[in-house]
Amino acid sequence: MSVKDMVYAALFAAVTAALGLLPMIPVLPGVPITAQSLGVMLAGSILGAKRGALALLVFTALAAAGLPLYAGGRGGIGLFLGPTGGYALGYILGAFVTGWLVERMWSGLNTFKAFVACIVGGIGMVYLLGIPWLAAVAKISLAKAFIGSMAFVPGDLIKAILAAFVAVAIKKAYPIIKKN
Amino acid sequence: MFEICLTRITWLHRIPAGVKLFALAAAGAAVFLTDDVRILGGLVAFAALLPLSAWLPARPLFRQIAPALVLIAALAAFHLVTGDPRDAFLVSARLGTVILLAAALTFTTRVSAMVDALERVLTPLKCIGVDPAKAGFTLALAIRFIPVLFTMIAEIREAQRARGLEGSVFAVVMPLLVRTLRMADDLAEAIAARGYDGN
Repeated sequence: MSVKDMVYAALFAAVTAALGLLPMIPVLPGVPITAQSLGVMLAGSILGAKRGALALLVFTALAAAGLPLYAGGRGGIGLFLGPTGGYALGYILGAFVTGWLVERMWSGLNTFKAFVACIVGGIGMVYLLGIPWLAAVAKISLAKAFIGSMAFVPGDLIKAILAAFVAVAIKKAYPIIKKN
Repeated sequence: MFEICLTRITWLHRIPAGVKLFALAAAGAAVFLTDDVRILGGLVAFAALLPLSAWLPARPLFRQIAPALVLIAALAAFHLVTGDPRDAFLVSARLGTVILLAAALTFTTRVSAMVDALERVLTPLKCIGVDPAKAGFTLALAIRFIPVLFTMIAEIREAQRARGLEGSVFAVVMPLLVRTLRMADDLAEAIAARGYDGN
């Protein structure tokens, strides 16, 4: 791990925390949508697989250590041991997969390709770990856990569109992945 | 530094972070390994009494665990409706125990103590290439820069409001990221200039 890896991971962990301060439009009443999980898609698509995953690992570790970084000022190790712990781990995997896909498509990256990478990584991987974890811990069927989680997908899709536009714009303004 | 941990010292503060983490891990494993209603009942009662014994403040504690409690209540209701009161108890006792014990840990352990404990936990992983000192440095760096990024996002939002762009997330995120990336490069150079090469 080079100094650059460490600095990028630390600063994007801080960016992910700061994104929690941005309110977003609630898609369904009662389901709070913050820009925070945007951090998963942005870290992956801007920093690439390794550094993106490291950034979310740092964010997750600090929240677990007791910083109130999650939406609504929540934090602490309980977030990772309860029914939603799988989503927190899915964030790390999601950033990695988003970054891996963006690295593969880097030379011809456009908004649509970045959107696909954000959906597969930032949505697909997060739910891939989150739903079975929820089902196992809560003793409900996978189908029930799946349906219950779908309330968050419309918000996630909006974030994926936003992340795709941002990733392409950042590639033009300040490319990181192929610079180093 | 903002953190969930209380500044007022309770008896739980005096227990080392490593011991509390180990106890939490042991309790977490125990609740999922047992199906015995009496053992689970005892554990959840203990977990509920622990915050009381340290006089943890009710409102901040509730604010931390409320979303989890809502979810637990919904799951318990689901199992009751499908005619499985035993599962309703198992699920709510297990999750309730873990959530309450974890909250007790979080309210009584400084973030610095947790990071130190994490560094010690990572030490055996040296042989597979994990460097605990680098991990500690990265975490400390992130802790230092979280308030910087909070200030930065507030500044950018104010600037974009002056331009009439307060509704646009894009107009906030773009400058935030470009400034962060530039700051990261400057910071990496500054660290290298002081002779730290990560080893």
